[in-house]
Amino acid sequence: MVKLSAHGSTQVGEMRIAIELNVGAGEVVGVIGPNGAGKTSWLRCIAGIIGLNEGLITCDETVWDDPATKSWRTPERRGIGMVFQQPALFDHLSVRENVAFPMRARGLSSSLLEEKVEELLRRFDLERYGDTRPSQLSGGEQQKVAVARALVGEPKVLLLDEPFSGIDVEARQTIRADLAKFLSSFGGACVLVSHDSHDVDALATSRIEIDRGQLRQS
Amino acid sequence: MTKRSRIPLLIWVLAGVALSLFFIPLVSLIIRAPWRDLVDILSSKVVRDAFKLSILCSTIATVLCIVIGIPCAWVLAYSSLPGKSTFRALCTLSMVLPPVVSGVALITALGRRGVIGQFLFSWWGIQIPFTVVAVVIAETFVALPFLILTVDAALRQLDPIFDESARVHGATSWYSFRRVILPSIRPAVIAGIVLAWARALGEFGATITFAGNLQGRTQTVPSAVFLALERNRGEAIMLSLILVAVSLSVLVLLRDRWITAVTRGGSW
Repeated sequence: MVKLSAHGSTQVGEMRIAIELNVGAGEVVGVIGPNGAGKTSWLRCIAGIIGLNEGLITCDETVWDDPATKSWRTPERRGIGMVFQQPALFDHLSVRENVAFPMRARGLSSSLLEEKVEELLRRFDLERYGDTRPSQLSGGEQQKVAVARALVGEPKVLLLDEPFSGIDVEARQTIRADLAKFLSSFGGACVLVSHDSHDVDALATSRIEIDRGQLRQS
Repeated sequence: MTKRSRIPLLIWVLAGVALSLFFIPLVSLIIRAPWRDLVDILSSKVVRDAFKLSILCSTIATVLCIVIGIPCAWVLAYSSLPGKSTFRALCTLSMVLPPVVSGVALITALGRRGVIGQFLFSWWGIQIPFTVVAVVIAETFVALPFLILTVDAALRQLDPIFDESARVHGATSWYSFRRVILPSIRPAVIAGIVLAWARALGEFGATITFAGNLQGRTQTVPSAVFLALERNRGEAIMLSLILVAVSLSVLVLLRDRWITAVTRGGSW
């Protein structure tokens, strides 16, 4: 059972961003708000890219960030998979190598890894692009690669930051359907950030609204 | 109206003067070179010794630049070290220093009575000036900023999202640097290495001041050219042409793509 808990605040530029989040196993919390509301900062705090100024982030009783005691778990040790707003794929690696990256970075390389990578490529209909460079794919295909990469390590926490941004309507519907199917069987905790309530309605089990760094309602 | 016809005539004239300033001296070398003596000059012991030493020392200096320069660029680009801009200026100082001043500074630091050198000599009997080690140190000193500046600029222009993506997906900062960041700025790294090597190979002022000009021991090709000017002008011209050929090869090797990569921040 996974339980992610994030409470506190961080400062991004001039804006103080309050964070209040509890996500259990199998739950998908949708965080919705306009651009610049601070949604991405929530994910960046949970991922360990930025730190809290005050508060606490824990996952299954393990402290990830506690400024009061200076406890800090580095991003690579949090067991997270993340889809960024832009795919952030590594163009010097092929699609297959991009998907395999999280496992190789953790020192895992075996036939099991190769099987897992191929399975994900098949699931997202990316098999034929295995040896292609990401920049040669469309935006939608790149985002599918990013999702596959986020899932390969069987993360306990999945963070999705505007996963459909920059994707055309048709590809958006396909990826949304694929993601909905996947999330229905995902046993970890998932946080989905979007400015589009259709995405949140389609994928999330609960929603939180924020605006200008502050919660509007939960 | 074509692009060319929009450039005033005076500008063409001034541009022609600039191009002539490069073109005429280089062409003069070719015209005055004693081509009949090419084989004799190249096979003389002085020239062979100078070439061997130049290639050996510039290569070692370049390796040293890579080993210490890339970490330095990493620290400058990504750390929150206080006074970073001052350190950045310090790293690039030898680029603007007259080379002979660099040589004087190195002697003052590492000479037998130098700030550090006095201890090296009195404790371990180590004497650096006028040795091959001095040649390597002098060349590293002048070449290092080329590598640091190029890599630092590329690192700062690289979108941080790639490192963030790598870190979130299990990479330590070291793994991310080796497997994601450096490959992403490969053109700039290669350009920096090649420029550093070319600078080291062509170094004269710091080398002759700190290491001297001892044939067979510390005499590099540029130092041999200097000496040959007084003794045998034809030999000086021929050696100069060889250095020009090496420099041209560097430019061809870099090609537009990598020169542009350096100016644009060094990513693919």
